[in-house]
Amino acid sequence: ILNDAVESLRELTNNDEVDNENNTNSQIESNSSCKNLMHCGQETKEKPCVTCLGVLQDYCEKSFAEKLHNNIIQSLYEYKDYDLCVSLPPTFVVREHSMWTYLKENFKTRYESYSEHEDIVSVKEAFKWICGGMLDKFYQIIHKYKSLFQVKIEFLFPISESDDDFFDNYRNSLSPPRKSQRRSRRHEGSAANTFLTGTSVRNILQTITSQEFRTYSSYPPKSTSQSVTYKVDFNRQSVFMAGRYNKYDRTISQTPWILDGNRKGDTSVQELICDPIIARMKADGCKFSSSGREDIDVRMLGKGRPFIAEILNPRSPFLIKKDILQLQNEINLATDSVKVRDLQMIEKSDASKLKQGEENKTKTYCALIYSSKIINKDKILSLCDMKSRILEQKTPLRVLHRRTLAVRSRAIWLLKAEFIDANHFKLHLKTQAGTYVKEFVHGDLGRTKPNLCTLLDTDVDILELDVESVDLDWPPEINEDISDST
Amino acid sequence: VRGKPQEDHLILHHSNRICVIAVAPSHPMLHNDRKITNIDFQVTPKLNRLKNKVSGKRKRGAQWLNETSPLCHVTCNDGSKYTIDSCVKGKLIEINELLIENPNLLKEKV
Repeated sequence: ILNDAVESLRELTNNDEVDNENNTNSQIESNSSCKNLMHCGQETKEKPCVTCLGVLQDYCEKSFAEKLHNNIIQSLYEYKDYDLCVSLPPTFVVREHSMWTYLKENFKTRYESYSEHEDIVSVKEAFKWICGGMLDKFYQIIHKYKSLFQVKIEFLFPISESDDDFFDNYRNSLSPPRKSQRRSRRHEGSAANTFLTGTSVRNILQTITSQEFRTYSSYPPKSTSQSVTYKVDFNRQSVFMAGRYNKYDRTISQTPWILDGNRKGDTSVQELICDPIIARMKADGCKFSSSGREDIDVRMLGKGRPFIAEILNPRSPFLIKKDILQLQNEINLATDSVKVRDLQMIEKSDASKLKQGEENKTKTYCALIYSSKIINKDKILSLCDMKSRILEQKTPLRVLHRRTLAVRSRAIWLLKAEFIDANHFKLHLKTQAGTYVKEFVHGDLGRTKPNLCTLLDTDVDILELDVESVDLDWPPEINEDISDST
Repeated sequence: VRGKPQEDHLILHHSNRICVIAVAPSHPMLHNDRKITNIDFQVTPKLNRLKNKVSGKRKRGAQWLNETSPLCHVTCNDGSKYTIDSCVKGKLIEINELLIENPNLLKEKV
């Protein structure tokens, strides 16, 4: 099928070249005369074909495949398979349609049974098949549909020689409504740009008849002096990692915190975890997301908080279990502030598990409380005996600048006290996700009710807060025995 | 404030630019064991501070305050009246609604 398609396209190309040279409505249909003329064409420098603008003439030989293969090697991407993404300038849509309309009108008997979209191979498809075929044949590179590794070939054609008149003529034929007339004068440049996409051109072509098309653009397509140039780029879709982290430092924030050019704290949880991953996978960057956050002055203890990291455009993403454990150790040895566990690769579809149960999950905390009056142990103990409580919390003042003002009902499931001295005690709480614990203790000027001050009838304040656990059963625990291979 | 001696206001200013306006300890309304009988939020015939409604992060729809905008009128049991002014420019986010039921809270420590 490939050969037939290429053959038919070559015929189209040849017919067209012949026309341009003779400048007449050619009636040449026999293949033999075509082939003779094709030979003539090849001896001198070929003019760019008006349909493919050189794509099928210059880029379908082994030399191009070799160049492409070199580019892939130089990019330092590790890959097991690839996907080829080809982009052609929108003028191709016009030219292909123009050539097709011309052939259909002049060689009716030959082409009347074919449909433009179903039977004719477009330049883009033909190029992809040829190029992919060459890469497979000479370098054994496996093509896989929707592979994460993309080889992007973009063909460029200078705007000045493209079918500008088609777009101009088409735009002029539409009468702009009055309102946008002023705008179109100011934004003439951008209006031109909004037209020049492949899909919009295709949509336009579907709506106009061939008569109208003839008024807008020449067909067969105009000949040009230049052919296309190309650019190669590579991209790999993001890979995802998950794990749990502990935070033992009360001076670093979760994400980099920059206020007016100055940064608070030397580093952040995000950087401590993501920077080694980015370096190991040779990636462009990383997006860090976790199941909730803790304040800068709060520690994260216990099993840790689940997080995911989306690693952008990694060059070396293929890590086996041994490599991942090594990476985890690297992160843990580099700093005492943050420790990571259960580091693993996950599928993109698993990423949503992080945010599951945002409202329903529970978290446990330990707060160090200071009381100005001597502690009444009985009062506190009676507090702990009671069943769960519901709080009504208005948005705390400390976050009110970036949150909506609202009242949130949150539950405290359990309370337990541990006495330290006459004025200090530790309070262990188990709360619903989303509860502001600091505000529960000091009351936030009465905006959280009930609060510890009203419940104990004394002024209390919170000195330290630790998160003891985040009760989410994901990501799965990783057995650090490297004898099983993954 | 407003040139009247001793009528000091207290502004608690957070680094996130949110301010809480309160009555300073030196204010006469807190002297002499006076009880506050009424707090009126209808500061002008057309403007009632209780009708303030904000929506969203940007607090749209909020009443705008200048330094001299009145927040409320306070009446004490000995007949003396005072006005509490905003003292800062900005959007009014919230009125302490506990004051409606219990005006004497105004005397308590913040």
